Amino acid sequence: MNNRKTGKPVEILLVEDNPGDVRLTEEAFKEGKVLNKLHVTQDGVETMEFLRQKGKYAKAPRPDLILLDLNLPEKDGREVLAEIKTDKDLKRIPVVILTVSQAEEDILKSYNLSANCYIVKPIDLEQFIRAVKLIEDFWLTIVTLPPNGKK
Amino acid sequence: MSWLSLQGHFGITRRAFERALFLIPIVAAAWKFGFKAGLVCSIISGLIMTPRVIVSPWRADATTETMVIVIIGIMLSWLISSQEKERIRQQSLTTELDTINEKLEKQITKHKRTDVELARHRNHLEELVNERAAKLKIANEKLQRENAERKKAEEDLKRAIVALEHSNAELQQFAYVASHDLQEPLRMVSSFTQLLAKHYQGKLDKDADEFIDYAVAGAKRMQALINDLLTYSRVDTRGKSFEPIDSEAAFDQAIANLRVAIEEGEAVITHDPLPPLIADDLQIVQLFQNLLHNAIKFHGKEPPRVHVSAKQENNEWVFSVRDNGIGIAPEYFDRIFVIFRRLHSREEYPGTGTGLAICKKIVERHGGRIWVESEPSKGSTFYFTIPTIRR
Repeated sequence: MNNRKTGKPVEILLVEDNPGDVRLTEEAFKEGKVLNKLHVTQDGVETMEFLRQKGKYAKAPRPDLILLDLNLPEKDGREVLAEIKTDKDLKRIPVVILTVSQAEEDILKSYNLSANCYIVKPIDLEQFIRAVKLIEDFWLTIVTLPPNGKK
Repeated sequence: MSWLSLQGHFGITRRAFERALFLIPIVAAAWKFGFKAGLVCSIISGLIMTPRVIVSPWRADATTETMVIVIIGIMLSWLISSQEKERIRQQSLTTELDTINEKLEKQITKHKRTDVELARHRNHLEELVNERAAKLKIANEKLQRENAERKKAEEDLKRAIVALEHSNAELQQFAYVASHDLQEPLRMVSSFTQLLAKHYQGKLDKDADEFIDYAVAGAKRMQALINDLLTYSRVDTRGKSFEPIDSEAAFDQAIANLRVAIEEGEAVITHDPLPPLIADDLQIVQLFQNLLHNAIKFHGKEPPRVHVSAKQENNEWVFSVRDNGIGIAPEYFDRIFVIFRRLHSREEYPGTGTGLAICKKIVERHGGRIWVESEPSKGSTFYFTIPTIRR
């Protein structure tokens, strides 16, 4: 993996409006093996600003992986996903949907919008931590990601 | 007049009188015995008088007298006898007439009586008809009233059903939304108390550890309850449509889902061939799973032995799940199917008390019934039915 070779941390963007969930995800990543840097945005508009490096995010890094919640204030996760996957620069970034919704229509819609995978947040803490660790393990150590940068 | 002529006159008269005496028996005979008797008497009288004629044949008048008497006798006989005959005829006619009359009168009396009776009957009939008509009218009015009442009741019922369906749908929606939306904050409570335990167990004092334990246990239990409530409400709100399924496959799936519990409890589960059904397969899996799980969980001293079978009765399949567990007292047969009702403490047997309530809801959604037959410490048999024909 290029990131580990260079020693550069993996950039992860967590899109989550619930601070509790943010904290839990941080805790889970802390236990992870991979050196990573977790960025957090709390709504759709802010997320797009981060990805397009606008406003206060002018110097934001391009994330290697996006963890996206579907239920967000203002512009919600489905719109964010659609926007990312139709943007020729952003569409290569893997997007993991991480949500409480088990609704079939949400699952179908997300995959139709080219989400890379869909994970229902486990209710139990241990299982949640395990899921986050597996996400990290799979996407950051097993999967070969596209080279980071605009092409 | 001379003596002689006088004597002569007298003599003729006396003779005539003597001769006329013969007429008496003739008349009597004719009157009594008819013309023939009179005739015979006349001839006999004539014969009796004949000697006198013979004695004095010169006496032409004697012969004439005899002849006259006989002829008069015959004529009288004829007259009297015919008169008598006529009288008798008249009499018999009268008698006959009387008889006929009597008969007629009797007939008339009878007729009159019949008429009276008939009239009475008619009157009675009329009364009866009137009475019946009145009763009918009352019955009719009652019927109409009842009909109106029934109609009203039906409308009320329809309205009530609509209201009930509405409130039921609302309640289901409420239960679903409540349990779904409750999950989120609860997940926070549960997760962070667990994190607290993970990071600070043993690092604070003994009380803090105990408090954290209770908080974690409470949050976990609340989560289990809400989860089960969600499952319970989903039976109706998220149920699939009924399709032909193989209940044996559903049973196998339930066994697979319970693998850990079966291994840990060293349970032996057997079954007879199970039929195809028209049902929601996921719910049938859930139904088997809950019943089997209970059969394993509530075991006695022996390792659990469970047998599942099915037989067809009328238009339904009757399934049975028989175990050798602790059994249930009859007074609890209904209570066990009520949501969150438990018979045992959580320390004895963990659980939320929703398993059988969910089973009941699933069975009822399929148009079936569920019940239990059991005796404490002698095992239980749970029965449920699934109709073979979909209405």
